Amino acid sequence: MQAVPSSMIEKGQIEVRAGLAEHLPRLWRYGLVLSSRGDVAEDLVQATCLRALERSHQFLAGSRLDRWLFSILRSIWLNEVRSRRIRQGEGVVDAETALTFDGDKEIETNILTRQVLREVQLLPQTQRETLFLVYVEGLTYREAAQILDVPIGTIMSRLSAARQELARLGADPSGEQPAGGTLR
Amino acid sequence: MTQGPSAGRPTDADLVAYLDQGLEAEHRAEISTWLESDAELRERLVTLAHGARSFRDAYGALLAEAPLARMQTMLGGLLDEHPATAGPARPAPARRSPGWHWPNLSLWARPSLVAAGLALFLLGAGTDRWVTAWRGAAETEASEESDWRQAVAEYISLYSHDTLAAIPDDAAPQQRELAMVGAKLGLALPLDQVALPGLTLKRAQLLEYDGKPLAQLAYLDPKSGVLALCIYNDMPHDAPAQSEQRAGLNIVHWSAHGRAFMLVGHAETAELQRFASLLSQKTTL
Repeated sequence: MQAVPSSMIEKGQIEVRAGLAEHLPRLWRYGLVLSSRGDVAEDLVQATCLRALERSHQFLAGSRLDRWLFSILRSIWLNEVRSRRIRQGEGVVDAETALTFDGDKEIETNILTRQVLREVQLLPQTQRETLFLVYVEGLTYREAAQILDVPIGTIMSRLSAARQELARLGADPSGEQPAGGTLR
Repeated sequence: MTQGPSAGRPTDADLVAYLDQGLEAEHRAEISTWLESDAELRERLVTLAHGARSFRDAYGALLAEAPLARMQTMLGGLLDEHPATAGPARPAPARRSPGWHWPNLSLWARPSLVAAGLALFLLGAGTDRWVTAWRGAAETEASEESDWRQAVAEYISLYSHDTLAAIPDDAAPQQRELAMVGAKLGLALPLDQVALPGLTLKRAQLLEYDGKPLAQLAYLDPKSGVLALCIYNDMPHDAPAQSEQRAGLNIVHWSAHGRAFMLVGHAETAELQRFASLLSQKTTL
């Protein structure tokens, strides 16, 4: 890595300090997508903010702060929180569990929103996370591949598999129809 | 994954990237060429398009569930504990008062992101023409009330007689479809109210445009082929029937009771106007 002028480092630190605030809700949401639990998501946001402040000199001024923060949050989830929860026998919330907040409060939204979230919850975690980053957070395939540390082809195949499953669910909400249904 | 027998045939992953505008121009053109000559591939594309949802809207609802006040307090504490170590002395943004703003919503409004991530639900063809029209509309809002018709017209233009002919004429599944679609639109759609003289109703589908439900009732006309009635739940002003042409198809559209209606197909405009007149007299529509 090339030497970065100290003025750039200062600028990066300022951007991190000033920019963290506006990303809190989106960080929390990403934490929720990863952990399926509101309280865990909140812990993840706190750990992410702390790590970001400690490493703000590493942030490249002018680059996307939200992408940088997402990477930090995901790394903390994978390397620390998730593994600790497994070690402590708490496990990881099953993918098919409904999203809950503050313990047991189910999300209160309209029917369409609930239906979309429920359908997405039925997808495998890797597909769900990829779909979230690309279709909700608007990351390009390349950005998603970087954050998830997989080839772009994997991003494409995950999105394709997710779409096929959602198309199947849409064609037959009861889920009774076998996979592979075509145009309906 | 559908693997075609021919070399170079696009995979489902390619088609999704095509729908998502995620391809280089050259690759995109290749897939367009395949789609022109490969009916099965077109069906795959439509299926994959149906696998889209209003993800951004659905997940947008989660933002409101975030414990914002607690996180703001937490962040304020962290900023106090970790004062800036370099850079000019400046007021630390540690003390945030209630004037906080919500996440940078302008991010969501960027057309490129919207085009990439949002609902290309109707983008069956994914043609550049469509995208150009869509993006233009997103930026200007001037044609907001008509861009859904452009999307639908592009979508319907993919349909051939065979697309619908293979669907059996069975009233029971049609009634179920109509009930489901009607429920989503808050509209009663009994079979007799949507029947059109001389046409065969083939199916009713729920689609989405810009996060709002859109009903598509597809008919087969023995003379002109595919004809569709689309109902979109977002039109504040009533408007009388008007005609236009999009994507090489004839269209008659009108709006009433907060909904926009459109008839689209290869049928003559006068014929569409006759159907529009019949439909607008139906009590449940």
